[in-house]
Amino acid sequence: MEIKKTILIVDDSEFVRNYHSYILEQAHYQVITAVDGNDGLEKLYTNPCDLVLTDINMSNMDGYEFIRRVRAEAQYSGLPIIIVSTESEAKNKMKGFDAGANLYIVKPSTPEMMVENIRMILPAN
Amino acid sequence: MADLSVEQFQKLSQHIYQKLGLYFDDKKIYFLKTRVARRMAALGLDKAQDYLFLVAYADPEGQEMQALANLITTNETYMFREYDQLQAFANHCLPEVLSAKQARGEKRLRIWSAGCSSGEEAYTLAMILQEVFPQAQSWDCEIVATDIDENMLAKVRAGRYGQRSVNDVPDEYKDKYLTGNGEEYVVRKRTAALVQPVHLNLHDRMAMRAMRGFDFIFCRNVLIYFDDLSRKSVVDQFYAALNPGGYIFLGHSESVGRVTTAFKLKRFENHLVYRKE
Amino acid sequence: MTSLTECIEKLGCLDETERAYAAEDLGYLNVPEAVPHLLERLPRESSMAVREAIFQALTRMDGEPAIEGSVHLLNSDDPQIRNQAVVVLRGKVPRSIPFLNAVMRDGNKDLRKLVLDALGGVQTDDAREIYTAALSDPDQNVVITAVENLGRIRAKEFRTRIEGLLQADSHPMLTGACLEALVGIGEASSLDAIRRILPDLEALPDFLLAACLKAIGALGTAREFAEVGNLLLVRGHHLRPAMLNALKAIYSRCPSAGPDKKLLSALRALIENGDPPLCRYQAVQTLGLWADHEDVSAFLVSCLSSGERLVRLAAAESLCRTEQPGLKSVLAARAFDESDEEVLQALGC
Repeated sequence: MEIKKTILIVDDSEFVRNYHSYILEQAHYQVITAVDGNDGLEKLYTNPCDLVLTDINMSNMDGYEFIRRVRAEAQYSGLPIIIVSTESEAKNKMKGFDAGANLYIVKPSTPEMMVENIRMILPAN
Repeated sequence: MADLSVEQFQKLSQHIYQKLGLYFDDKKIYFLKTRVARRMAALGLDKAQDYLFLVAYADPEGQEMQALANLITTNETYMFREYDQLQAFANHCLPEVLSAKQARGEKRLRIWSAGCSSGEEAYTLAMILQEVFPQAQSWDCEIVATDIDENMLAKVRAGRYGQRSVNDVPDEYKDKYLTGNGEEYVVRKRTAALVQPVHLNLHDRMAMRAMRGFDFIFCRNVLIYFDDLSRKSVVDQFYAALNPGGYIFLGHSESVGRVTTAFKLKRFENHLVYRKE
Repeated sequence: MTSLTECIEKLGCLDETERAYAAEDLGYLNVPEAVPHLLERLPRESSMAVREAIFQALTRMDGEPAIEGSVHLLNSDDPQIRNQAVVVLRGKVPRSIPFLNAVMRDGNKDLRKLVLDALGGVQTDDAREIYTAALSDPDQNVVITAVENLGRIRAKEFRTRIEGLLQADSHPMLTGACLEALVGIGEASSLDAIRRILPDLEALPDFLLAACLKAIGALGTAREFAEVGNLLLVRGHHLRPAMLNALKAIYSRCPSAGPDKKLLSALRALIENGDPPLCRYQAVQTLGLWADHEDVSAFLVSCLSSGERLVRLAAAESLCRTEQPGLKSVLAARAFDESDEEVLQALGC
């Protein structure tokens, strides 16, 4: 039986969660979703994940705070985290990397862009 | 019966989770369907889609959400309700707090059972405390059981419960901490002495501010009935009421994280708990 | 109640709880003079609890200074501040709209997106000007967010504009957003616009097919019913829920869209071997649309003995809706062997 890698998608937009979920499922990943940073933490703590995709602008815990809290736990220090945000300025990207993200993708994302970037960090099998 | 499609069920349970912090998984589809059917009948709606739209985008005061909340939650209270959560408390959180206090030479422990109703939860906590920490008698230990309803507080003081309330009490606990004849049980004096019933309205800001210095707060299956702003105010007051290192417990399917970011999430084995740093 | 001066002083004290109480009290005092002090404290405040108390206070305060102040916070470098300001402003719609309008006119793309976030999910006619501008915005994210919002709040007056955004060379994210929006606000012309750029469902990548299935569920005809039925066993497992939803939704409008043998057999296969249980539940529900057909009802009766509770539940629900003679006694007999409370309830019709 194929054992798929699991990706946690954290975004407050249901549309964006669905959009990325289908792209990643077609690329043979398993997907879990969360509606904001708090929900992301709860999902992460209860489901083993191999990579996290997170938005930044979310109420009830934004992406940077979420990443900081994830990185504060030793067991997640190596967990790949990719920011997927509409904010494109260099200062936002620096902030993301300072918080502990590995990669920063600017929306709107295309399927090819998402899969290529994720495969660089986490091969599907 | 409301023809709630699977997609609609998933959308609705997502919305309920975001608004009330209550989580309904796939197994609950029929449960939610029947409750939604009742609300749709009450509102004269015949399409589930319209009900979903109303709840998500046309319910600014949260009234419909409250009406639905009343149908999807049970008011039943009994001892050792939500056992999993109590296990996390007994096996991890309580020992952690106690040993930190011992290391600091402190001998005071305070627990708050907020919205205690007839007291089953408060007495459950008292039994657990005595079981996990027999030295409780030589410490200054107190479980403050608050409720807005004086009739409920009278029941707490009486400490008398019927069979339904004690069904989930482990047998060895029944023998140690209760006396009973199979029909009615009374909490033993030593256990009852740990519990202090106090009248308190969770909406009363000033009275809430007087509640300080707690190590644990339990407020389970109470806040789902509050509107967003009040719920947040109460949980913010709980944060202020807790000592650093203290834990807050809402109902096991109610998420603290939906209400505030102030607490830190911790995991003990397969339990998630929220702590004030 | 503490005075304004006392509260402002306490806002800067060392004790976290006292600072939170001070913020709370300022919210209840509800005077415009308090706003600058709350705003000024925010970027310097490290405690989440105090920050949240400040935002609660801004939410409680009903004057314009609280709105103006919250709009100013949208410029913050701190995303927590920006996003909590969005929540405050959302709670103040429609009074916050004139201020949001100004940001929409003068703000950069990130600010314009935040304006739409502040409007997200709120029913209001006063935001028409903002949405009209947003749909022509040079930034794709602004357009996509506007489309998302408009679909969610069923803003039918923007249907034609959104149909117009469906172009063959549109960004896939925008196409997906338009498809989802048209679920709530679409009409027959919307289906034409969709099929014009997406004539072949089989060729669509999953993410577009999923969004398209939603729109087809809301707007499709017997033609789409047949197309979706053909895709059921061909496309990935994770798309099955979306396909089943679409089939059921189309059938509810076009009961003449009958199933063919292939579809019935595909549904049976899904019920017997599908995963997860909720998908099997859905498949039974879909098959149950034709429970009046004898062979279908016979299969559904056999589902009443399934080891999977959700299959038995859906079968009971479906059979209860039919008027086949003799079924009532079958259901009653089944109830004797059933232990699950909800299935029993469903069997009791």
